[in-house]
Amino acid sequence: MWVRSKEGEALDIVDRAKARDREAFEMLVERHATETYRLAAAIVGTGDAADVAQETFVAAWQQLPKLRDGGAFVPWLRRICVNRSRNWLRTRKRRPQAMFDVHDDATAPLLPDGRGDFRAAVEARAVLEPAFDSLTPHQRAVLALHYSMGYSIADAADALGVRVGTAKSRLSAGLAALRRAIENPVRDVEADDAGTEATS
Amino acid sequence: MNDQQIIEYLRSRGRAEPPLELTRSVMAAIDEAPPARSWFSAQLPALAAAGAVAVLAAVVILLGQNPNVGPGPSPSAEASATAASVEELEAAVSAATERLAEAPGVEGVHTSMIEEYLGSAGWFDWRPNGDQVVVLRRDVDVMTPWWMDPDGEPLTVGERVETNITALVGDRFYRTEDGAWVVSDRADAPRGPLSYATGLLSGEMPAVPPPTLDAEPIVTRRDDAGGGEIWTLEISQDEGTTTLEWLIGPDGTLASIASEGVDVTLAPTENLGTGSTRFTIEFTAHDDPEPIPTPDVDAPPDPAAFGLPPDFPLPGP
Repeated sequence: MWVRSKEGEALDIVDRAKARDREAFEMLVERHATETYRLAAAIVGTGDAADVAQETFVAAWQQLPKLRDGGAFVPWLRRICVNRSRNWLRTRKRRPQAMFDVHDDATAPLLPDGRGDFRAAVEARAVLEPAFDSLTPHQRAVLALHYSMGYSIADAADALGVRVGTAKSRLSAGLAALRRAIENPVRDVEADDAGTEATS
Repeated sequence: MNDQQIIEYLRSRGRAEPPLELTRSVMAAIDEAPPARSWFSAQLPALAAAGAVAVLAAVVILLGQNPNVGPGPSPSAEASATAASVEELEAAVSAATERLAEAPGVEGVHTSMIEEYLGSAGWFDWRPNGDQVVVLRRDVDVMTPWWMDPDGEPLTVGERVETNITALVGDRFYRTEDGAWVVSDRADAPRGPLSYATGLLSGEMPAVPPPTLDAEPIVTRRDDAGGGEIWTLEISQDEGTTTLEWLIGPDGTLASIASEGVDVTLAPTENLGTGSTRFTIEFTAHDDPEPIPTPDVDAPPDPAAFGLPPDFPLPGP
């Protein structure tokens, strides 16, 4: 879990890292790598999540001395990750990723009764994946923060740098956009090619 | 596809497992990464800064719900500047503001920038009876706090521009919403001024923002080449500085306000991220202005109908 760095030990590690202690920063990376990767994956997909997470930590290392409140490290890191992810979507060509991996825990929830309804899970994901990919970076980010990562609306708003009311409205709009995309799929040749390649 | 399936899918996106070598690759990248580039090295003159939270917060909120700016204060001629007190500054600026507000009409433009990007721009037309119209345009992606990411950039610039018009005319309050007019009684208008600039003219906003308690302000006065005088207030806070500058014309009326901040906190309540902000307000007094036109509520809101200058710095969609 991503834990707010309120404890003395965590603050001490952040302070040491701010003072350019590489070992301390490595501890921060180890502590927050999973959550950072998952947040990036939730926004940009698993194909690019490692690159985005790496960029996030490099940026954090470079700018950490400017962070005034060490206790704010976690939301600060989240915010960097969200912005990196959105910039990635805007500027980079995404890599293909597997449409479905039965060994991936991420797909397990799509199987209603354990591994029983494999076909239904594949079909659902085949609809949902391109629908999610069609959303704007803003919509992806808010859905990822709240639903994928389980953050409260307030924490999602904090990561997005917007007011709580704005986050709520974006969340609602994002869900509505996702439903529309599911109902009216836009055929994405590139995504289809990627999926075919990855699953073949 | 039901909602439960959608939610389950979204949850599944947050359960991916990182590659085992992620920490190692991150640390390797850190060792190879060049030193961080200063956010401000490209553009920050030694001059001013924007940091005083209280100062910026008041202006920022009222100028467009974010840090504001335009051209920054002009470089000060240190040799001719004389030190002054905060009380002298307040007296001079208050008198100049009151004198401006005595004009039959005052029009003006304000701009605000974050780093090198124009975030919002407003135009206002104000009458002493309180009638006024305020057009505010905001570049949504510039105003979104991209600056929290040290290497962040706005998603787009100039592509998603929102325009809002508010007006107090006669006994009615008008505002735009979703491309249409919403009309209510003037008595039901939101409390407070429609803009920082018109709030100054009506006296609802203090002529000089109160400095933060822990800041030691530096006040100077110098002659302006055009015959007026320039007052500056410089406040340092943490590692940043805010400089506000008031230009008072030869006739004793307030002509412009400018502020520039360097290394200041852009999100004061969150204490995250610092940056550069600049804002300006330029006032023009009119001796014989037309009344503020009553909005045609049956027509789509059009800023040009109120006299928005064609060279307004932030074009609409």
